[in-house]
Amino acid sequence: MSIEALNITKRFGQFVALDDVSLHVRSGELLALLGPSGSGKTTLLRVIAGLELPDEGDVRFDGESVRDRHVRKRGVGFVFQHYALFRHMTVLENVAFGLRVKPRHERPRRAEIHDRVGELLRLVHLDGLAGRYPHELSGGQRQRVALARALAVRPRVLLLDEPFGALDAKVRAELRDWLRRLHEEIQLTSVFVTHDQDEALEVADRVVVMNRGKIEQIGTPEEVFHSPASAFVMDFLGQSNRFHGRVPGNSARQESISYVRPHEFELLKPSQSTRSIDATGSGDQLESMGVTGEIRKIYSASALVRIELSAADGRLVHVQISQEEFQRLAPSVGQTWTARPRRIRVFAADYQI
Amino acid sequence: MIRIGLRERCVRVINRQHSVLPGFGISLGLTLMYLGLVVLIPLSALVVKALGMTFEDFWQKAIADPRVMASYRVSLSAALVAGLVNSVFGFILAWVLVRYQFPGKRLLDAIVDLPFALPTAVSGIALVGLYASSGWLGGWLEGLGLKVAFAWPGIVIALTMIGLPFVVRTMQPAIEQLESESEEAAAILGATRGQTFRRVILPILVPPLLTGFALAFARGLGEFGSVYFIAGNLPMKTEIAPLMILIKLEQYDYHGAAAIGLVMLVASFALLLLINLLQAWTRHRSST
Repeated sequence: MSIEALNITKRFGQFVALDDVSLHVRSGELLALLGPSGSGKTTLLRVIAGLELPDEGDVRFDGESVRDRHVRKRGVGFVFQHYALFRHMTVLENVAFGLRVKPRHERPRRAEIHDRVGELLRLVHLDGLAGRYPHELSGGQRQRVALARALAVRPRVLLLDEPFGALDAKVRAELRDWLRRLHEEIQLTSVFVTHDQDEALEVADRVVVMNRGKIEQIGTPEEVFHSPASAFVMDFLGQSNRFHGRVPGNSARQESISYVRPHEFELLKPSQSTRSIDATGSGDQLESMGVTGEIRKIYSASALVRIELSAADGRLVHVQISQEEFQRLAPSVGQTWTARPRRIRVFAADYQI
Repeated sequence: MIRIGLRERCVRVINRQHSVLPGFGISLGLTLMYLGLVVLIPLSALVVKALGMTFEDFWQKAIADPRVMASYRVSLSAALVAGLVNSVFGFILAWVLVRYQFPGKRLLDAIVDLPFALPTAVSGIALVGLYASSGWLGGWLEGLGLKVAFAWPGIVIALTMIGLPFVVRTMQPAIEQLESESEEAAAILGATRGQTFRRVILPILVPPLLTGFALAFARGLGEFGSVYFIAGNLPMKTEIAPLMILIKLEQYDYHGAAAIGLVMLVASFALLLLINLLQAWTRHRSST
């Protein structure tokens, strides 16, 4: 089922959480809402769920407005960041809850509920734990119970609020893969909120980058990563080096910022005429000559070698090179090297973090 | 949580040599001495006094005497009813104080403590003034055929007033700790407000409600000051057990007073034990 949010505005007192936001989620896709805290991503998710009523705008499921439909009757599945399991109920009772509270004439028979819960627990790989209480489970298991509980009522859309936010890194990565596979299996229109760019880029079909109550960019992970639409998206997705300067050829004193991702530098021996530019040089200079400086630190215990270069004005430039290149060039701390960008993106300096 | 689980307590005792906080020995020693002086020694003196008489004598004075027996009934029934009334209305009051914002909320919150702060005799006199046949409410109620002051309902009203803060003050923190997310989760899963309350909220609040009830009930059993004025103290009808102890003492019947005291001590102890067991059972089901 498709979801449309049309011109949604939501204020909390003076604070504008969502500012005229429109979004179309295609049927069957897995969409990520990505942004820093306070960007409005969770509020948008809660508006879609019906937990918040928008001040303006409309929410439509398959073209039909559900704005005035109570959360109870929207038919959404929702997974909370801190699981929100019912702690006095067993896993089985938690998962069966949505079925047991149905009005009498819609409620499945006891045996059917049992079968459905068993089926769901197998789906989330928790069969055998039906009799446990939430406090007897690990974080990852709890989150999977929460997911089974949300799926039990056969929702039309699945909404997940920072689903892996409270878990440690390894469990997170596992659950992330698993969610991706689960989604391929059940093909349910799903929206999840995250502040973790890796999570969004790895799991989602499309990513919505949000900032200050507005959508900055919507696109596939490749689109938002390789062709960021704004300085904010550039900055937020992955590490990047910022170089202040004026836009070349622009007579007005418009400030611009040049961005270079660490892996888009190549490392060179400094040329004979070591005329290094300072970090405030223009984009032109940066492109032709790069940045020369002394290597401060090398982190080589990972897939890519990270190098910190201290430029003439003292600011640090982050460079990433492959292990092979590292072996070939053999740079070491204290030496002077030049980092020349292969690719520079320039944005007008019209935003602040 | 008000009570720490037994297992956690054991773990703390076992781990004491690793504790960064010094002074386990001295603080435990002080605690035991204080408890002994203030609670245990007076209670054991009562037991010793009561044990000083023959069983025959004890039976005659504390059990077989119909007037004493009637006083147990009055005390128990009035404290029980007052405790139950407070459990219902104290719960609602605590809910309103935690969940809603309204003008005068802080004042209302402060009023809840009044029965704690007021000398109980003052409460008793105030209630007599209100419920006696010459009082505002008393005259009107008597017109309806309901006698409150100097009767059993009067005792219940006095005990309700005295016990209210116990229920409200135990429920408030528990209600504050409820996670709003569980209620949202229940609503999204299709539960109505009623179902959410019955299946999600209430089970979590039963243990603190039992605690509140136990405190209010125990307080009601021992209450003397306020009841003394409103009960009328009619033998066989509105005499409470603490009053019987006073009457025995006034007759220099120390053994009789100690015997009644012992019965009340055992009864209170048994009730507290029962409620603790009930709590342990419900808490086990809802522990985090």
